[in-house]
Amino acid sequence: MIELGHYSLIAAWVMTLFAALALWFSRRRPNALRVSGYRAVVASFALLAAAAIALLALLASHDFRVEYVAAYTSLDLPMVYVLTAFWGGQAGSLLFWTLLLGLFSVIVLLQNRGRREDFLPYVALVILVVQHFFITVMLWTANPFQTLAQAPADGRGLNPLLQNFFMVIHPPFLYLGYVAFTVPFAFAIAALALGREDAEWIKISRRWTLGSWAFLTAGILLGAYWAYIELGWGGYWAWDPVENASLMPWLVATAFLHSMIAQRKQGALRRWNFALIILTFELCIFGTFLTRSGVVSSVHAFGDSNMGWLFVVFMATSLAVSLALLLARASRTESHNEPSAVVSRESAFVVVNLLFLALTAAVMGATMYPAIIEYVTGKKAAIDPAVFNRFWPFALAILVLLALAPGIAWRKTDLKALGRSFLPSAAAGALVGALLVVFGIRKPVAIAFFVVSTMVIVSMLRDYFVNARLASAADGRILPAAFLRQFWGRKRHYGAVFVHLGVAIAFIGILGSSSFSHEYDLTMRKGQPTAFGRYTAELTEFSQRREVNKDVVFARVRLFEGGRFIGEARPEKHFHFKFEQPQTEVAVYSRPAEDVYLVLQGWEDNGTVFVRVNVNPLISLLWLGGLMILAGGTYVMLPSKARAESSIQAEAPAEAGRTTAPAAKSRYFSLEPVVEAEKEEKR
Amino acid sequence: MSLSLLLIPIFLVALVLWVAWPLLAEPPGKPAPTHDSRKKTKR
Repeated sequence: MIELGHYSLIAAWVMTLFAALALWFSRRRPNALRVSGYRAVVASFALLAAAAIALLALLASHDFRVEYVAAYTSLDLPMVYVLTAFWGGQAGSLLFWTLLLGLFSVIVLLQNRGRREDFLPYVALVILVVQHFFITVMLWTANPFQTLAQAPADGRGLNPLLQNFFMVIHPPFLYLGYVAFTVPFAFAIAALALGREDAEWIKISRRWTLGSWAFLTAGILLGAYWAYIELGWGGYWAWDPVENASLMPWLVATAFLHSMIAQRKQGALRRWNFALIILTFELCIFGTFLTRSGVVSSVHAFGDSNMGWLFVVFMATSLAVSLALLLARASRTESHNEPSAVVSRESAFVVVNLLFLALTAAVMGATMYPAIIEYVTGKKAAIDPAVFNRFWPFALAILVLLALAPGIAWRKTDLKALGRSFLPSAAAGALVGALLVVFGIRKPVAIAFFVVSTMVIVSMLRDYFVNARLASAADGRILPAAFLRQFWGRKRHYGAVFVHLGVAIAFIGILGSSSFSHEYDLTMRKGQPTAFGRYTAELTEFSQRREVNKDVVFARVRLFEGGRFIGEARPEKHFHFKFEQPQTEVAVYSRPAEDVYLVLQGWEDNGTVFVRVNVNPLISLLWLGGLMILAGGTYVMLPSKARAESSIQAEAPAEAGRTTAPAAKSRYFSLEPVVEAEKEEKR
Repeated sequence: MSLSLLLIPIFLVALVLWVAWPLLAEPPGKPAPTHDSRKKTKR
């Protein structure tokens, strides 16, 4: 198996190189060489799959001759973690990365073979270059099939913190997101190489972009949830460099998701879109680099290794080539439409892009600050995570735009109409703000976010309602039926509205839990109730048990609210036989309004137990909002018939560079396209 | 061990043959049956 894995990797290295050369030399016309190149793409994936199977077999059979197996697994590790150690360490996760990219290249091939023969050789070529680079990194610096001179009797085992369900699925989601962004990037480069700067590349790769974004979102959320229930410090986001590494491409990709609509609908923001997807891709690679290079110290970095400079060279080269292509096409990527008014959806998208980029730059600066200081002065430096929280004005500004969004039209917005559509949201926001102040809340930032989030929610609900009413008036259906028909027919629009609702709800959760959480240190003895906040806790049992690979000390705590029993929590402390550091197992008693979060801190021989309790208000809204963002993001990917028809109508005037009266109205609100499309159908 | 050692060359040779087959079957330069999306587009 070691040989199979090793030789498969070497063969995949050769095969990707051959495929790239074959596609390069056949890029102008389809010939046998191109067919052979395509086959080599499939063969590369087959070879990577063989290597992956080999690694899984080695892990499953506890073959400790292999350094990777010995480093990340042990005999007493449950089989699910033995297999998922595949992506638990440096070398394995690189193989996983490359395998996913191989899979995606085959899917892209199957999707576009014979249909997009103009784009396909270039797209495949770009993916192959990235794939080849990763295989090179693996063979050169982190070969998962590296053997040890002497096989140990047992392996070191997996870090207990990583032995958690969410940690099993968090990395694959994150990698899926990171890796899949290579595909829209490849389409962008192909479009630049071909001189096809129209919206074609965006349309072909739209689902890839959305899918990558959804996976990255899920990966980040799962990571945050894992940190919350596993790390035991009461929060979910610590502005750790590796967390930031996943946030930065997400921010730029989110800007791109919005910006690409402007190009699809109005032919605007072409250069922006190329620049944004190039930056997203580079940040994905940068995120992978940051985790592996040892440049920044982090709780989940894989530590120092000499692969850092390989990544630096790759990022610099790919960025230089991409930007050179973009500059070479600069004159052709100019949007050919007349300039839009200052208050228009196009300019709103530009502002959104700028805000997301500013936020990314701020996060990047603060993340890299310690590394830069260390490089310049030679002294260790650190940054206070609180610094990151100072970037809140960017997020607030984005939310304000979001609340205004439904009233902003393409080309030119009627300010009076914008004011009218915004009035209910503003009123609701003001009401919430006033209520918060009346009830004694004195945290201006939290109040600002609650007010603006309320405005977003009202704005979005109003959008649902107004559209349903218009539809109901147009076809005489009752309101709910009209609404459902709309919801089903215009998936892109309503999916997006749902995502925005989720964003507002998540922000309420973020601000609620961070501004109003309380921490209590309880000293507990059996039979003596201890009060904290509105709650009382009673220790009923304090004991320990032995499991296969660890000793577990646990406390059983009954929780009361105002004298009424509400539930039981069991915080634990795990002592793994193979790891010195004991590990806390948090007990979260979760309710819609707030979480009671218990951590077993320590104990004395006389039976006194020390428990730290965090009461985190509204945190469940963060997870709810996150799920809504994911659900809405997935919904917009479903095929939408009414949309297809309406988009043809929408694009016609834009292509001609002029605007007709209906198109000048807010498309977010107006029903013309759908109603017209339905009329067409009836005719 | 011996089985896997035997399988690797078979696997590799089969893959290489499959990849190279279009080149062996017809000389490079001759157009293969593919389509250009610009000619055959539904939009």
